[in-house]
Amino acid sequence: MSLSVKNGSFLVDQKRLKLTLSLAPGETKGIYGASGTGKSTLFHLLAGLNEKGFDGGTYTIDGQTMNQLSIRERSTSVSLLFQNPDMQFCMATPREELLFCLENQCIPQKDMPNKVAEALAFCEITHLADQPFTTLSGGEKQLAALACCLILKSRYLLLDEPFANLDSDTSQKVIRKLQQIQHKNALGILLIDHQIKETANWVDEWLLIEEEFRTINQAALRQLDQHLRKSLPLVNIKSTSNEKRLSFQNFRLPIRNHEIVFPDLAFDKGSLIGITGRSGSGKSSFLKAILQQQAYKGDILLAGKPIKKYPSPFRSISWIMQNPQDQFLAATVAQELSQGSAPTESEKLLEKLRLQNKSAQSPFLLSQGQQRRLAVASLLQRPVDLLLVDEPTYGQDVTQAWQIMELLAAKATTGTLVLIVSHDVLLLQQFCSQIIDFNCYQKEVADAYTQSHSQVIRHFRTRLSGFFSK
Amino acid sequence: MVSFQNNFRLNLLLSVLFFVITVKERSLKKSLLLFSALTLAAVGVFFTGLLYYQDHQGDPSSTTAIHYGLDMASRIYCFGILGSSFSVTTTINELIYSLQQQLHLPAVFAYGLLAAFQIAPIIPAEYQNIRNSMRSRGISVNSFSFKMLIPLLVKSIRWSELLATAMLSRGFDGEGKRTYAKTFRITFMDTLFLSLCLMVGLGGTLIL
Repeated sequence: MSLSVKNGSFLVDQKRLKLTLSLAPGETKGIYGASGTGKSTLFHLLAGLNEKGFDGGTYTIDGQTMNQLSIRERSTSVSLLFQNPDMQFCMATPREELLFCLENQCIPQKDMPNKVAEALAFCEITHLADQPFTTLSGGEKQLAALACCLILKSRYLLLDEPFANLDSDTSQKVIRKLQQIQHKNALGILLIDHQIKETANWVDEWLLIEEEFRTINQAALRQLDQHLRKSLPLVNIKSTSNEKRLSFQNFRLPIRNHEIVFPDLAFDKGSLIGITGRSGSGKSSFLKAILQQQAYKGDILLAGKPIKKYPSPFRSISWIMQNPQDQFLAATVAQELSQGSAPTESEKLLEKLRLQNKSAQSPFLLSQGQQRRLAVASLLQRPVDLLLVDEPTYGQDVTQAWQIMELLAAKATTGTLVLIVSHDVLLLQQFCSQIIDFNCYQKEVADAYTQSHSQVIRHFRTRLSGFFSK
Repeated sequence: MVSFQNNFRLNLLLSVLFFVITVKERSLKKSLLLFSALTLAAVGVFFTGLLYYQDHQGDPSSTTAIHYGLDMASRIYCFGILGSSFSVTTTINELIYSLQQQLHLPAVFAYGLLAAFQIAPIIPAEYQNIRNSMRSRGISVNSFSFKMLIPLLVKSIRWSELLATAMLSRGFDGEGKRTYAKTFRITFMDTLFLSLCLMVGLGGTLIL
């Protein structure tokens, strides 16, 4: 009784990897490796989502060969929690999604409501059952996906960086749920994770992807991680010029039914500022407010002049979005890097990003980690006053995250003010001259009427001014 | 059949009847919106009818022209209200489930359609994303540039792939048997409703 792969081989970037793995029910194993080494490809193969399957070797689940199982049997044996929580649902709400799972399993209609209620209650998302997925936060989506695995009664669970997008409180909550489920159903769990700190006491054994797969235990991996962190070059935070680039006056940001009250902040030209806080605490909205795409109160001054008065904020600001796929425009990686106004010396840059042999590939076919690096790099070319970066190191291994931060730091030395939103406080502490924690700011219940009123007026005003500025 | 009549009184009767039946389903705001849209269209049609009406002799006469205009305008209300009473009483999911169970629409199509409807609301947001991204790189774009369509198309292909994998991982099998969370059957009440509607229509045409 186990999930076992014997000499299973598969191709990643013209490189053939061979894997031997066995996962018993109730066991937890982790996979650790640099980004772009084929971890996600491997998981798709293990979940049976790739029709061809492994090139060679044998893959069996509880004694049955994977290729001979029907789609339905596959889903009851292995479930995959996707890397990107947005695109893993087929229906509009958690309840419909769960019913869809049950329909596929041919569960009689009269048993459905009970099973759904049970799964929802177990994952503590009963209150979200009929909310559309688009309104749920990342953590809530992961819990909903977990409920699906639970209701499918899968015996093995594959987690593809499930905590990359969550703050540490939420990921602890998801981990607790996972442990409960594992205990209850004797679930075998295999997970990919870069942040080994979070899962320290849970994972029994790690598989390391280098040239070959190598098995090591928790302590050894910790040492390796420590070693890797120590080998990284130190950064010295440069003292910056005293020229104020961005400042806030009486700034208030409405988030749902609250308003965050900010002190009067001011950031210097050429500095690196970190922004952190719980998920849903308004970090992304803060960036949007700077770009005039979110209603706020008070004033934001860029180089002494209110941003509201600028004809278009994008003239002097660039924005690197949370999801790298949102900002790809070109057909190949090389074109992606040379888009826009400034030409680049792309060869050197590609090598630095470890994308050297990918210049002719579509950016959408890269792995998540590679996409993130490309997205950051492609927006660094343009000279701007202010660069807003949303979660640049999500899904990156330690070395890559470091390199991205170095790229951003190098950008800052050219006189650009860089604001970085991230959950990774340790990394921010290394690089940033100032860290702003949104959890510390006081919240006030907003006056609902005035808020909606001002929002409507603002909306029309921006529309109107946008219209005339053309 | 019913609303193709050029009969002012019948059209009015049907509009009022269906509006009353479905009045509970709509909020006040929606009703007002519906009426203002319909009135706008109806006024246009009324004046078209009024100004371009010519009787058999070829010369325009005012009273018959007004009647003709009213007939035409009342048709707009009739169409609009019949259509909206269908759309407020039936959600997309219900419609597709019902098509699947009664007209035996293949499951692949049915769930494909459903999934497509889930994606539709994301498209404006994506459009905004692409626009922001272009501006972030210093590429100036106007709202209807073809440059914006290409990434959008690439992305929608990408979504369809992702959705297919998501459906597979939930154990969806196009050919296999499946059960339904809700069953949709044609009941006695449905046939009664249909025949009542037919009778009102036919009777109305003959009497009014």
